[in-house]
This record gives sequence, structure tokens and C-alpha cells, in this order.
Amino acid sequence: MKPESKKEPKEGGGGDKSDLTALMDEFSSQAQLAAARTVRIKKVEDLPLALQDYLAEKGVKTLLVAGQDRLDLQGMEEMAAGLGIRLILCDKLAKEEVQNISFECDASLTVVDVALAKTGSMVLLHGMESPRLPSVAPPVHIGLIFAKDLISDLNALGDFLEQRERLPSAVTVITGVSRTADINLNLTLGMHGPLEVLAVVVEEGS
Amino acid sequence: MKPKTELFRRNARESLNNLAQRQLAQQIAGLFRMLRQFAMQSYPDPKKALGEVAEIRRRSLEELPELLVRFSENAEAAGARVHWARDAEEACQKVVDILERHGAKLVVKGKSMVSEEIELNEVLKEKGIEVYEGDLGEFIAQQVGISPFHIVAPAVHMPVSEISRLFTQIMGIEPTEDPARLGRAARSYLREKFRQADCGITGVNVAVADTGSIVLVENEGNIRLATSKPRVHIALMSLEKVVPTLKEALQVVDVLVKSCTGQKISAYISIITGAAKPWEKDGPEELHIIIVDNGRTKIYSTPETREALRCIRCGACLGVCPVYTRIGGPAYGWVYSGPMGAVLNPLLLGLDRCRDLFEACTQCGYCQEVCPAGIKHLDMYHHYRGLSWRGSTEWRAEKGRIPFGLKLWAWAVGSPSRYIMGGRLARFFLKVKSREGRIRDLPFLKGWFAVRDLPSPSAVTFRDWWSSAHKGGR
Repeated sequence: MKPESKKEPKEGGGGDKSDLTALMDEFSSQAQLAAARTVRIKKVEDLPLALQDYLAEKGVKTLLVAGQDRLDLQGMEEMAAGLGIRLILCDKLAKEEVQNISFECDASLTVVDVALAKTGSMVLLHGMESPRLPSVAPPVHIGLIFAKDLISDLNALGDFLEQRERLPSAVTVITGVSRTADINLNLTLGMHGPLEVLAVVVEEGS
Repeated sequence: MKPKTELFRRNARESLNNLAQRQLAQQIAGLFRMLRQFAMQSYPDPKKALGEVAEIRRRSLEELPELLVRFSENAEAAGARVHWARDAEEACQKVVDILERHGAKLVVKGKSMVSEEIELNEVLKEKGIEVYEGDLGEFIAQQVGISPFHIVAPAVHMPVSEISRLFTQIMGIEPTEDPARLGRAARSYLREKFRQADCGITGVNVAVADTGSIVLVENEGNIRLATSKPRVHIALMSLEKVVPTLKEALQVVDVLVKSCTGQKISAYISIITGAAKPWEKDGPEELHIIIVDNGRTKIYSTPETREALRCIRCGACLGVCPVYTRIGGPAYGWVYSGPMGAVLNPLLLGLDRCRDLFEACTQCGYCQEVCPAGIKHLDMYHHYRGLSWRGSTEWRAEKGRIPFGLKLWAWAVGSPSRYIMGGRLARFFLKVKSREGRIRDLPFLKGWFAVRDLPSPSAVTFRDWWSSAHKGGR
């Protein structure tokens, strides 16, 4: 279901494509302000190449993946094999394994359901294919966002969720990296949640 | 935490003498005020946005009984179990019952003001249940047993060296005064607790009647972990938190975050609707929502006090209050400090125990100007002051003894001639006491003069000036 705000042309926008570009630009700049790193790729098949250097730089040895149905799994597996990374699919794991591996893996990759351009936020609707822990427990979280899933803000998210017949047991809005200023008002990035967040925006496809 | 609001005067004096703490209170207030102003600019019309939230809170309170019933029905339909607790004791007992039924021995908590209000940690400790606050500031405050300095940053007044000593002692780390390294140490230490915990306990920022959802806001990720890993989630919710729709809840959250920490949006917002479904691979198998009254029905049913329940606990009022910004949170002696505390504490603890909190107000009114819930703090304080002099069994206030000076004042202003005469006498007396243009001491007013002087009265009174200036009908 498409949220209404996505159909509304942006002020000064020429058509659908420029609207989407503006949303992607705004999303990226806002996510960066919240200390997330952002990457833009053309299509989902470009993901393995886009992640290759990043995963190597982070020394990732285990990557937990949720929502693999929307990925180019073969490409990801080849890339992981090349780098010696163990790719673990949530889908194939039992309940307890998902929970344990979420705490033990080096990084996670989850497919984002909706993203908010005005705040650079990634929204996850949790359910069977999208557990909660992979986006909060690992030290690195990579969120994959399809540009068509970009909406404007919390208000638009309210519209989007209210259109649904039933809400999932948990919806999480993630904006940048977990943080605290509890010691001496000193801003520390990476508290209990991921120490680093990478938002990958896919321009085409769903 | 045990209330010590009666000690406000003594504590405030101590805080005023603590220069470092005074500077910190000013610093934190200044920072949050600046960030808040900046965040508000992201609204096309900030006044309108605040007005809308105030209206949501007003309307939600109007419909509170119906909204609570609707919330409870929808939450249960979504798979949560809703419990009602009349007071602190009952609320704690319900938590204990749930934990005992699951044989829970280890609990992790997300920041929850109502859990502090009902002294839950103390009760769980007595029952031999290990409890860890997950929010870093709350964790430090819990370990040291200090009163919170600020609603957002409860342990910000703890010197880094002391936090280092504390962490060295409980986590076995090398001493360090680097806040980032201390944060990492707490992350590693608490991570295992989150992983092993039998139950996660959180508060509720906003509840949604239409969907039975609870909405939680945070920056650290402790609430997300506490609501994702343990098998049981208990959410403590004071009964005024409910609004009609999810859209309205998100509107409240949006303003809450901006007013609270001055962020455009917090790092995490969780919308939780029922327990996790059996086919989900994480999330709690049971979600218990305990709706806590603890005196709120009485506050709700009294027209003059109902407005206090609009509070969304953003703490915007703290940053602008000339009293809070000089003494900080610990002087208030309980969970809620600043104007928020001066409004809520007297109703929750009784007026006599909190008289000095609202008496200390300077009536500047800045708190109500920034309050996104539209609370008229000054009207509330006036009401409390009236009650506390007249006496009220309902709000636990003994009839106040009007001091002789005030009685004399009331008698003098009762007639113009007495007022003029009294004014002349007072001026004469003040001139006698005046030295170098200042009066530094007067009998019966030692307390007032302890921290300030009074300028000498001017040579010509306003009354005399007016009559001479307006001679001839000018």
C-alpha cells in the first residue's frame, strides 16, 4: 500500500522522479546529521559491491541478514564468500538462534519497510521475517531502503500505519546511531544500540 | 525513591552553596533551551504545533475514562494483558506477582518515572530480584543512590572521577575519565544483563486508545533491548498517558522529543502493540500493561487540579525555571523536579510535604509559556497556596498560620487612609535603618535579608509625585 504523502508532488518538484530524488537527498542529509553513514545504489543487485569495502573495513566476519527475499541473495553470498564472511539468514534460524546470533554477530543487514525523509529515519515493521533484535543488538546495522518506500515524516508514518488493518506487534523508528550524554553532558555515540549505522538507499525496484 | 520534599529549604540552601552544581544547572538548562529553540524551528509554525499538542492533551483528559476503557480493550485484543493498580503498593505487588509466576530473578529496566514514583526497585530488591536500570544515567543514579538531577540526565552532576571509581569497582575496568570509554564499559556490562534478563520493565510515553499500542521514546537502545530479548515485558503506565489515535500519539511524541532534548527526533521510537506473536523469533511472549492510578483519579476528579495530568514529562519547564536553574533537581527531593515537580508532587504526596516547592516559585510564568501540554503552572500554584493556608484534608494540608506581618499588611491595605498612614510610618522606619542607600537587616525578616538587601525608599513617594505631576487636571 502506498502512503498518500508519496503521491503528493513536492513544492517546486517537476514530477515523480524529481520528487523521489528530493526525498532521497533529504533522507541522506538528515540521516548523516544523526551520525548514520549513507550510500546510494541504483539497483539492489549493486548492494554486494557497495558493501564489500565497508564490511572489509569493519572486519566483519559474521553478517546476520533479515528480509532476504528482497535481496539479490546469490550476489550477497558470492561477495560474502569472497571476503570470508559468514552470511547468516534469519529465515533459516530457530527463535533462540536469532536471539543469540543478534548479540554475537559483527553486523546485521535488514530491509527497511518505510523511511522518513525529513528526519533520516528507518522504520521497521517487525514480524516473522523481520525480528527486532538484528537492528539493535549487533555493533553495526545496515538498513536497506527502497526509494519507493520513502515518505516524509512521523505524521505521514501515522497515516501509513493507520491505513493498515492491523498493527504489527512492534514498529521501530530508527534515526542514526544510539547515543547518550549522561556522563558530564558529553555526547557519546553508540550506547546500547549499534555503534554504527549504514543506510543504503536503492533508487530502483522494490 | 523515598520522597524528601520536606527538606527542600535545607537542600536548596546546600545546592546554592555548591557553586559547581549551580553552574551545571545553568549549563544544562542553557543547553537544552538552545537545542529546544533550534528543534522547534523545524515546524513551519511552532506555536501551532505546540497548540495542537496542548489541545490533544486537553481533549484526551476530557475523554479519559472512555479512552482508558478503549485502550484496555484494544490492548487485550492485540494480545497484551492489562492490569489496574489503585496505588503504589498494588502496582508493585502486581509486578512481583508476574515476576514470581515466571520465576524471574533478573530484571532490566528502561527509564520509567512512574516506577520510581512507586519505589519499585526497592520492593524488588526486598524480594531478592536483581534489577538493573538500562539507561546509563539511571544506572549510575541507581548504583550510587542519588536523587536525579534532571529528568533527561539524572546523574549528570556526578563527577566523572566518581563514575570512573564506581565502574572500576563494579565492572573491574581500568580507571578512566573518558566518558566514551565509560559508556562502552557500561554497554558491555549491561549487555549481558539484557541478554540474560527474565523480564524487561519499561514505562509508557504515550498510549493509543484506538490500537491498544504503547509508544516508547529513547536514545540509548536500552528500551529496545528490554522489550525485545526478555520473555516478559511489563509496562508501567500512569493512567493519564492515553490519547485517542496513533497519529495523535506520534504528534505528542514529536513535540515531546523536541521539548525534551531538543532533538528533531529521538534515536528510537518503539510502537508496541500486544505481545510478540508465537511465530515471531524475538520479542516478549507476554506483555503486561499495569495502569497505575496512585492518586490520579482524585487529581482528575477535581476540576482545579485535573490540568496537572496533562504533563508529558518533557522537562521543558526545567530549563527555563529561575529556581531549578539555580538549585538543580536533587533539592526537590523526589522523582519530579522543577516546575513539573512543583505541580505534580503536592498532589501526589500532599501539600504539607511539598509546600516549599510551590512557595519557592517566583511567578515569572516562563514555565507555562514553554509547556507543550498547555499547563497553567501559576494557576496551579495559586490554588495550592490558597489551599495550604485555608487547610484541606483532601490534599493533606493543615490550615496555615498567617504570620503577624501578613495580618498587619491585610489590615493596612483594607482602607486607603490606613494604607497611606502605614506607608509613611514604614518609610520613616526604613530611612532610619538605611545605610549607604541600602537596608541590610530588619527584625522579623531575617530569612528574607539573609540573601538580599533592600534599596532605601526614594525621597518622593509615587503618590506624592503623582499628585504634584497631575496638579491642575493634567
